[in-house]
Amino acid sequence: MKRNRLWKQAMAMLGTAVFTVSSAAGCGPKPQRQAESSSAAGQTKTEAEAASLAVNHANREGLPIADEEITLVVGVKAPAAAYQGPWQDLDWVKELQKAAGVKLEFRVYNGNEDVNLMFTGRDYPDISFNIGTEKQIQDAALGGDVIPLNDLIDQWSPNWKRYFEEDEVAHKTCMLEDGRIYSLPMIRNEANVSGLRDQWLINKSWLDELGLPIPSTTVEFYETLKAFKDHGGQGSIPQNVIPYYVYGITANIGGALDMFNAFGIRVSGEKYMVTVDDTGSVEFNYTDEAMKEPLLYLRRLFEEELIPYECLTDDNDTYLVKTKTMPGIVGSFHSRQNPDTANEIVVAMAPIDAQNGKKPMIRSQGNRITKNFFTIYTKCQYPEVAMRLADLIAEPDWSVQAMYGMIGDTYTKKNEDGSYELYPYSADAQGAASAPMNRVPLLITREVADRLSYMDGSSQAQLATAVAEVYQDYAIPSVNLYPGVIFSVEQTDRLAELKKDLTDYMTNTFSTWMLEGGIEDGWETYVKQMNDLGLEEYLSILQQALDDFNAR
Amino acid sequence: MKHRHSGNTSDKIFMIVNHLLAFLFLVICLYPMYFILIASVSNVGMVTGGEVFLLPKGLTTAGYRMLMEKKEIWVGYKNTILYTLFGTMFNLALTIPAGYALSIRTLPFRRGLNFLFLVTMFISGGMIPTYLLVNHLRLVNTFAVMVIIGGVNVWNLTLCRNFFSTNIPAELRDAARIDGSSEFGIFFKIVLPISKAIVAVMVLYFAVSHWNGYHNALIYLREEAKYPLQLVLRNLLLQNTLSSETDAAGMSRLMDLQSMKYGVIVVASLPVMILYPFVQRYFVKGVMVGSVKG
Repeated sequence: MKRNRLWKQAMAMLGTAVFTVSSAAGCGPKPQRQAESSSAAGQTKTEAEAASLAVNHANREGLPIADEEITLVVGVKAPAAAYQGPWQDLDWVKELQKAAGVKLEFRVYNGNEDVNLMFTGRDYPDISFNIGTEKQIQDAALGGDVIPLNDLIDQWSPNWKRYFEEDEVAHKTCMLEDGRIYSLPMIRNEANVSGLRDQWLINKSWLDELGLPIPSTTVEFYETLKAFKDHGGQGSIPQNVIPYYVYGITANIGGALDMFNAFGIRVSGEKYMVTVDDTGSVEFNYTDEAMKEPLLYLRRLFEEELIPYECLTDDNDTYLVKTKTMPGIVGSFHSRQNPDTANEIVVAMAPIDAQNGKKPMIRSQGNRITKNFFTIYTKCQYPEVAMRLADLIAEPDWSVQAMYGMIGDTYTKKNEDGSYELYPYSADAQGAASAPMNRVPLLITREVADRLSYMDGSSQAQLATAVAEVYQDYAIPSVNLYPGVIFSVEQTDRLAELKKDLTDYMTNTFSTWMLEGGIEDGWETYVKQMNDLGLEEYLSILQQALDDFNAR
Repeated sequence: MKHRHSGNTSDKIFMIVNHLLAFLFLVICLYPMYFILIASVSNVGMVTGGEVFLLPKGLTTAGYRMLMEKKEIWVGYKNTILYTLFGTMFNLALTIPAGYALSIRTLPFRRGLNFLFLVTMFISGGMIPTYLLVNHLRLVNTFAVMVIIGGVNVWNLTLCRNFFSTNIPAELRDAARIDGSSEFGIFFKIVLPISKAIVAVMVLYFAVSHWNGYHNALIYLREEAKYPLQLVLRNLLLQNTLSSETDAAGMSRLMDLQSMKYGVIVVASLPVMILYPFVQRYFVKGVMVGSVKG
């Protein structure tokens, strides 16, 4: 195949479609028949004929997708966790192959190294799911190794076609600079995926034992933590109580970022550490003078050992074990899931008020759209079949089953009215043995997400209740989150460099301040150093990309 | 008298300090292994919380029980045994005869050949060209690639060459030749039987590197059913971190997975640890003679 690379590139660049009967085996040149010619063919025939006639082995509609069993080589990432079985053993994969009449041959990639080799060696599979960084796909697309999907979507994927028509933002997000879509995203609109990031949790049974209310201000919060510490060893409060645990200061998960939001300073964590103000300007609030106030507050908590110093160096597993073991040893912490799904011992509390005249906020996230989940490479002989496969996966039943487990097994139930009931989410018990979960191009639209219901007592149900009853009014609105814009190759490279310098320096400085103090004295040096490290350039790139994105 | 006495004391102190230091190094080397052993049978909450230090706490076999159930681990085990067995045989078949041939001073172009081998130690093809070559040979994702890749290790080849050139005198070969032996006969009937030490050392070196290697598998294997144990292990250790999305009910099972990690390390290291004592007696002879005098 390799010797035809140049020729194929030329083909891809021309974007033409040459029709040949491509059932011939062997390594000879196999031009793709692309959507253009198939549409021309479709127009000249009656609908019935068109429906019965397969194009390059792809049936026009209905199942199976292919008119005879064909094989697609699929590049995928290795299971993310030990409880996920091998790809070809997943029930969902077996059923999908049966329904589609397409055999999937998986090529499993384990890390960055072998994925890099796939792209640099141009040794592509036919299609890939969750493989490749944005830059890798972008480079491969510009090099002509990836088939643009626009025409294929038009012709062969009613689900994605409809979705992109309805969701302008998703469409814009997935387009590259040339206005084409080279890779389908994963879309998840479940309330527990986007929206609120971390809940602010506090041990209610300890509060009750001490006769304290749920703290609502920073002063009360401080006094509550102190009471936890002073009463260690009494009642159900353990001797080695950790009054307040934050998993680092600036960590997106479990960190202290919501303390900044409590003081009315909008920070979201997320990928670029920036937010967007109401006028559409990119803002980076970590160098704002107002930041000193929450930092000094946190420093005081560290100094009085209300937060243990080791939480600045703990690893993720330690954070989870400390905060999620029941009965708990931590008084208050930030976590997406409440370990106490009954919401009785550990409860969600609203962000505390710093009484500085600013409205407290809590972080939200916008990972509704995850890019680069379905790519077709130019070596694929059956792009039409591949596109129809993506369309099949985008059907509500297949997407829900892929994420939550097969209908009828232990975890997922489908009702007659089309709604789905999901049983408690607990580690592997989410159907991971039968389903690939979030590793395939799911299309869970808002409408499908509304049809999902979580059993009482599940952590999703708890989260949904907490959002509705506690956090709704505080959450940072999605317009203030930096959207998933497209960067040019140069922008991507420069951003990566700058971001590393900036975040490393900031995280180190904050940690040092927590350990040793010195916020007042060190502030100006810190701001100056951040500017020297290229904060301005960093923000101008983000602003430029955002403006371009909005102008589309 | 007095002088000798004090000399004795300082000798004793020297010995005691020596032993203490040696003991300390022993502890430093052994403790990580010991920790993995006790961690594999301890309650993982206590391990992560830093409470397990000298003795196992909250004894459990949950990790091992889970390990027994995990199919991938046993498939990986089987693959590793096959790769190690065939890979080592392939290595020996190439390295030992090559080392012998290069040790013979009358070999034509001997210096040039040695030089060419040496060059590869300093200048290698690099990962991407190597991958492309293997890919063009259609060896990616095959059993063969795991056996063939790295068939000759120049460092080991040098050890062999040095061993043969110091231990097999030319006179021995001359004598054999006079008695009517062919060159192959000399190698198989005379040289090999008196070179068990170097063969044992090579078996150990190659077998251990096959057993512990995951990098080639990571790069060249695309199918989970072909993974060697170390790659399965790597994926378990690196990727199986606890998910923040998990609630209490799932935590206990994930905790067992954590302690399974330690169990897997124990199970994976055992065969190599068993191999060492058997080849140890050849070790000094095989390596030291070759390298010190060579």
